[in-house]
Amino acid sequence: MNDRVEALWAAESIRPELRINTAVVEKMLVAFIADEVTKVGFGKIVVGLSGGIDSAVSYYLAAKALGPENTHAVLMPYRTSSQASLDDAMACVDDCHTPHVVVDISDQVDAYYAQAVVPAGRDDADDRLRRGNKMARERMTILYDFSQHLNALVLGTSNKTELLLGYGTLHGDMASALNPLGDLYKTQIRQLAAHLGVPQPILDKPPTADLFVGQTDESQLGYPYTAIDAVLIELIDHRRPAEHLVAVGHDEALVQRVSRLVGRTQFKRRLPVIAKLSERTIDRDFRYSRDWGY
Amino acid sequence: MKITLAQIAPGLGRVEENLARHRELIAAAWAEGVDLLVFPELSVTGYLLRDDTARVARSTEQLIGELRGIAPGDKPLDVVLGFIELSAGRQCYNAAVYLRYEPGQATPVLVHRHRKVHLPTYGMFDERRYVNPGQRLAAFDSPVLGRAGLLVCEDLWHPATVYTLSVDGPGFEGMGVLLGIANSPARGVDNTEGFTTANLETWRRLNRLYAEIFGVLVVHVQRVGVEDQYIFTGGSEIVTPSGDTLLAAPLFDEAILSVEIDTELWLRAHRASSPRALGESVHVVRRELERIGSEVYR
Repeated sequence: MNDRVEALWAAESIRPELRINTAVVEKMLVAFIADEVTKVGFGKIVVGLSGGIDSAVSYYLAAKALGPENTHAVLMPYRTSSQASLDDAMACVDDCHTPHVVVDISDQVDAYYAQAVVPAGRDDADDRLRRGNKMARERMTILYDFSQHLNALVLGTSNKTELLLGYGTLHGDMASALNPLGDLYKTQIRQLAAHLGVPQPILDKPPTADLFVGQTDESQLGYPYTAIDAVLIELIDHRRPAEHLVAVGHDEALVQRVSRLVGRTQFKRRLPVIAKLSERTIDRDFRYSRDWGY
Repeated sequence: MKITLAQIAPGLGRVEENLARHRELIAAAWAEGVDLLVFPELSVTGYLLRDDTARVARSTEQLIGELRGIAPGDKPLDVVLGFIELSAGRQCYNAAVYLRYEPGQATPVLVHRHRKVHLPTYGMFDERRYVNPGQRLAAFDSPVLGRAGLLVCEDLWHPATVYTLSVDGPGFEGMGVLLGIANSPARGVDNTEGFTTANLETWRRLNRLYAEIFGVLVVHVQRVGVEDQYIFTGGSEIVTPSGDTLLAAPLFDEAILSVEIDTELWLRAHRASSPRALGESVHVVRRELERIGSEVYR
């Protein structure tokens, strides 16, 4: 294995069951992106680059799959976004030599909240959450605008941990045409990032949704990703009951929190449910693959 | 004899394109003097067809018609491929056919057809929803391999199918060569020792197990390519009864690989060193299976 990946395993005590063969994963995901983009008549990808590790990994994979010239990065800071995030995103662009554009979203977000008819947040937390979600959805509309303009598909950046916990904005950062990262836990994304040569500062800094100043995912979730992922892989992939996890030494409060979140956020992982009226209803008895019809 | 494995990436539902690719590869193999050319499961149609299954289904006769008129080589060529078969009763099957091309005849002859018996309908798979299970398990006489068996993917996860073919022949001397064609989506990426996936390692174990315990030469062909979220593994191979790997295709990439094999040599050597007659217990096994099958409330 790659030295950087092995160093990460040692430094972060990544459990064997969460370790991945990054060379195999790279090969599979590069094939996935190349095939699923070109097969449906496209040749380009547009991806929002936040300076965080997930979007960096998606971006590096796209550049390998379709070539740098066909991978368009869009950097979309808000006025409170950290300069370090923008610098880290630019380091990726400088490394991969792809086209990029910086679109500041401050004005369009602020203009919305400046309207008298838009209610203020119930409290600070509510206000921060609404604004954070609004920013994520503004970014989505920009990506889809570039998607139309460039004739490029929007590449997803949501990992398995956040999809399972519902830790993402529906129709915001969760929106994409295809997502190479959705079956990799955060801990595994980090290994892939090391393998792909993502700049070290991106691996070193604490993960953050950057919804407000000083936010980090792990302080918000209350546990480190290594602990969360260790629980998720047992619950989801190994189908172990929650009681078993507690019995073998996982933190009981963590196991309960994770179990509850996975259940309560199931709606976020589904298309809107369609009430069945006819004999043939979309996604129930009208079943085709995405690749059908091209 | 010369065997060629066509580890290709069929297009989903793109039957015309896939048939053109088959014709091209058949023509090339025939020109090169190949004896047996093996394509993967559903090589004519692609795998994740779902509601598109009925549209791409065709009768065996239609398929043979679509594969006729290929510029002949100097000697016969045998071809194995997979498709969605439309039966006389208008039912769909996941089928594999063994065809024989003769230099003097434009139309290939059907030597054997196998309809997939075991349709995976669990976890990521949903085959039974769209196709019917085959009802026959039979070995057949291949002009180049001798007594042979042809199974499709999940059939190989049921040892009873392999056992049945291994005793299906005069004097219970069944197949000497097991042709297995499959579509296996890659999964299980936690092997950090080698460039492989969990599903492929299972296939490798199965192929070696069958080769050894049934004393057969295993010819195993997988597909590659991507359909929706499935990334097919590849890793086609030929394994001798003593567990030697005569051919190993790469993972994930298309590969058309050929090897010269003296099947007689391998089978004789194995029979000489391990002359187990699996057929000796056929009557006991049959009697016990009938007893088990008749005991409804155990």
